[in-house]
Amino acid sequence: MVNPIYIIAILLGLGFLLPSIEKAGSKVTGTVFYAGLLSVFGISYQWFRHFMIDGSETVQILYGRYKPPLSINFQIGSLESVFLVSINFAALAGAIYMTKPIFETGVKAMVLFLLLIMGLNGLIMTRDLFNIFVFMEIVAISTYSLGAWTVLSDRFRQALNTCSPEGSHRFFFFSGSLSFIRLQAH
Amino acid sequence: MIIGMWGMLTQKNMIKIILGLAIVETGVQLIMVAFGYIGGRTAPILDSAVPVKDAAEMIVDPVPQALVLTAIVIGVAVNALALTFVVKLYQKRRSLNITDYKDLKW
Repeated sequence: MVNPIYIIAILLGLGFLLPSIEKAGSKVTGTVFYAGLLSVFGISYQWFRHFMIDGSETVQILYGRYKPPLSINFQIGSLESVFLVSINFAALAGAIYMTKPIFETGVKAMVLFLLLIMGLNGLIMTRDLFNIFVFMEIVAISTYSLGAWTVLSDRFRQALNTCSPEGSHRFFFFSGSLSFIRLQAH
Repeated sequence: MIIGMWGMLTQKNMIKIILGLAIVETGVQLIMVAFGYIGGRTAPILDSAVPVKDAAEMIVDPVPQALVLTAIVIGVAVNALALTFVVKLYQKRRSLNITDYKDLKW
């Protein structure tokens, strides 16, 4: 089985790689972009098969050989694998459907799309309050930016509108986290 | 936080709206730090004053502080991003008034 950290590593790595190979042309960057999405879908499908067909038990992976909060911990079970395979399939299908606007916008759109998918995958797999917050913010910021740099009319106004509830979503997340922490303390 | 929300909802100038957003974020962070403190407990630093075996009962949970620290950093990035959008909008129509941008309304 391929370790699920490779889902994060591939998407984040390609996010850094694509701008550096931009000069190679849109065919090369496009191929790398779609290959990355396909490989991530392949990894999540492998886990989906592992749980749904082979009927394996939930796996918890502690990175760095430490227990949380010192390490990042991921958990994959049947439910997580369903969400992962759905997200990665939707990402691949969406990227194929939006081939024209993605190529028109260039590497910027590809990088933001990869970061968005990475955030969603991390959000599903992580079992750590702190990392949930980090992945949630990655998803939020890449969504605003993706909205702003795609080829839609009046896109910056739309991006500003999506940016505005930033404080409130953080407030709700923090309120929930605090209630959880206070409950645990007593 | 409420002052910031009031600013965001009542102001028409986009820079003032983003200032409101920054005030909301600061308010949320202050609430988080204030409520994350548990009375009678000390800072989450393990030294001679805090034995490791009693640490769970003697120190406050460091997660709220870590979350706020991250939130401050992300908040700066979000404000910078929002200001970028404002600059782009201003370059397009030479106006900072949000009511001048009605293309998305129907």
